[in-house]
Amino acid sequence: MFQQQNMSDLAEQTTLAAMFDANPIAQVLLARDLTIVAANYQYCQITGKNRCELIGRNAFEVFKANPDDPDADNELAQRRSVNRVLETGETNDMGIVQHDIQNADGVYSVRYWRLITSPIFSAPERQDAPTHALVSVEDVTKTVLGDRVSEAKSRAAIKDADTTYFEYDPAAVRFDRTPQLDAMFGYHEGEDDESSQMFLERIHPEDISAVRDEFERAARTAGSSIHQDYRVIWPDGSVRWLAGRGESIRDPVTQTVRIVGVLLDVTGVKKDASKLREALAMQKLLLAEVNHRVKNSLQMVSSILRMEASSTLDQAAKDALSAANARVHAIATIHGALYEDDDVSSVQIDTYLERMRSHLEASLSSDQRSISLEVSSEPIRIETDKAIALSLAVNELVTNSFKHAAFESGKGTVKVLLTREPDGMIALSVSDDGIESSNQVLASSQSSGLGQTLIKGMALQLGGEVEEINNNGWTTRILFPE
Amino acid sequence: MVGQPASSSPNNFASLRISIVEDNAIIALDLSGQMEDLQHEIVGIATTADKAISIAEAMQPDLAIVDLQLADGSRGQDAAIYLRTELGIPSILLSGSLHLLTDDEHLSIEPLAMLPKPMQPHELENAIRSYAKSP
Repeated sequence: MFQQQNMSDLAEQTTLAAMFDANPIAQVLLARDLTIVAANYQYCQITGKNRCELIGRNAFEVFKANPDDPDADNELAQRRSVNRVLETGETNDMGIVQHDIQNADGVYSVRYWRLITSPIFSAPERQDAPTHALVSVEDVTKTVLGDRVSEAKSRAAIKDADTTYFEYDPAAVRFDRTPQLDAMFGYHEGEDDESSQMFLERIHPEDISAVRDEFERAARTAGSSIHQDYRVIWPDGSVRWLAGRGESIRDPVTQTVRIVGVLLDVTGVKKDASKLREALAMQKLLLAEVNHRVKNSLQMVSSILRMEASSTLDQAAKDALSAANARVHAIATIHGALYEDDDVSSVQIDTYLERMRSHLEASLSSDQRSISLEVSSEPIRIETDKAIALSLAVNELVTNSFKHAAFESGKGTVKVLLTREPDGMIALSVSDDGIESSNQVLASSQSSGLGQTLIKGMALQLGGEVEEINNNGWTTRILFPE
Repeated sequence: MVGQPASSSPNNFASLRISIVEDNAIIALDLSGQMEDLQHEIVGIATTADKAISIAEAMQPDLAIVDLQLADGSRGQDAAIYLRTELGIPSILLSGSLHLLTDDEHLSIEPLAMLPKPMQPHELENAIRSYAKSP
């Protein structure tokens, strides 16, 4: 009988031990002084220890607290919990605690535990006197750290209240209230306004229909994205710019479509953009003003030279002043061509040459001679500095041709040709069909004049070379890089 | 005298009575000189839009040469509109800022010519010549 009893006890103990190990919940049995009496298989698994390292040792000698993190020491709390359980005989839920544990290399890793301490009675008849504490242990590290990441994300999203999450219910035509959304629409904390239109009421009248349309569009098809910028007017009259980005989703419970997303207060960005626009407009205004003055001043220079020429009686002086005026015009006309578009660094030279043509033809023709000027140019933009040099060169070359070329019948043609050449070069050629011999004679006399000097100087400024061709008339060609 | 050929003129076209609306004295003097060289008569020089209108009303010129940006901030185009619509006097616009003219203003003024500053003397001469020749 006695033997039978022992056999039965043994069987029972074996069964209990097997059940203890089979328990998916990690458990450790502690004596009052926190000595580990028993630990189940799952406990060994989650702590990374084997039973030899645990049994008979103090729990907090085995799991020494992390010296670098005072918050990561559970020893005191565990001691209090065990004492309380042993005194009261009641289970104690310790909640979630942090107690870091070392790996094999002695490096601590952050660990969070959900701990429940339960009383164990060695004598079933003494329910008032527990002798040991059974601690059920759940490793909740991933959950806790995951929650913290989410919280950090949420905090980042509502920092300074210039960004917030929103939910809009199209059926009810209203936003879900949150303190952040309230702040963004200028409602005070706790301000009680349950009107269903409360947020929409503050949207700028010019923007409200676009906002409604966008919500309606997104609400028709779950999964559509939403993208809207609009103004809200706060009670103090200030206008804020909000940018909403989100999408429509089907609510898993109600099956209705909701719109969720983030709302950004972009007032600062919009203000900066508008300041930039104002500054740019001011800049343009100043440029136009300076441009106007430059043109007026050039007109004055030209006017003075013309009046001077008009008032002098000496023909040589008259001619010199007229020549000076023509040169001023060659420069001034380029300024006239500037600012006709937004680019002031270059000039559409073909347009300009056409304008110069009519002027030169009119000013150089006389009753005695009728010479026509033909201009042909490919569409070419060149830098303003080069355009001015080119303009002066054209003025000199055409003037020379008109004045010095002897035309048999008193009629003739002067041609100005501007073409693109290989290797990024541009060629300006001015030719006339004047009589060869006369031209040759005159060419030598020209070379001492200011005109010839200017032509060479302008060619130099263009980075080009002057070439003279005597072939059924006279051609001067300047080849220069673009 | 208007419209009659000025036979004494070497340019062989009619002498016109012209008012000048220009706030820059040098440019105004030059324009006057150019016109007188061509045997035209200058009936007055105005530096503001108001002055331009009062000269035009008093002198009834054949045409006006009008700068757009005038002294005291007034606008040549305002004077030109009044001259055209109220007095039937055409204008030649002359400015460094012709782009300031709107399409509506252009329609009201029907300018004989729009000359950019700095202007080539012959451009003004050509504009006036073609007006004088027109029937």
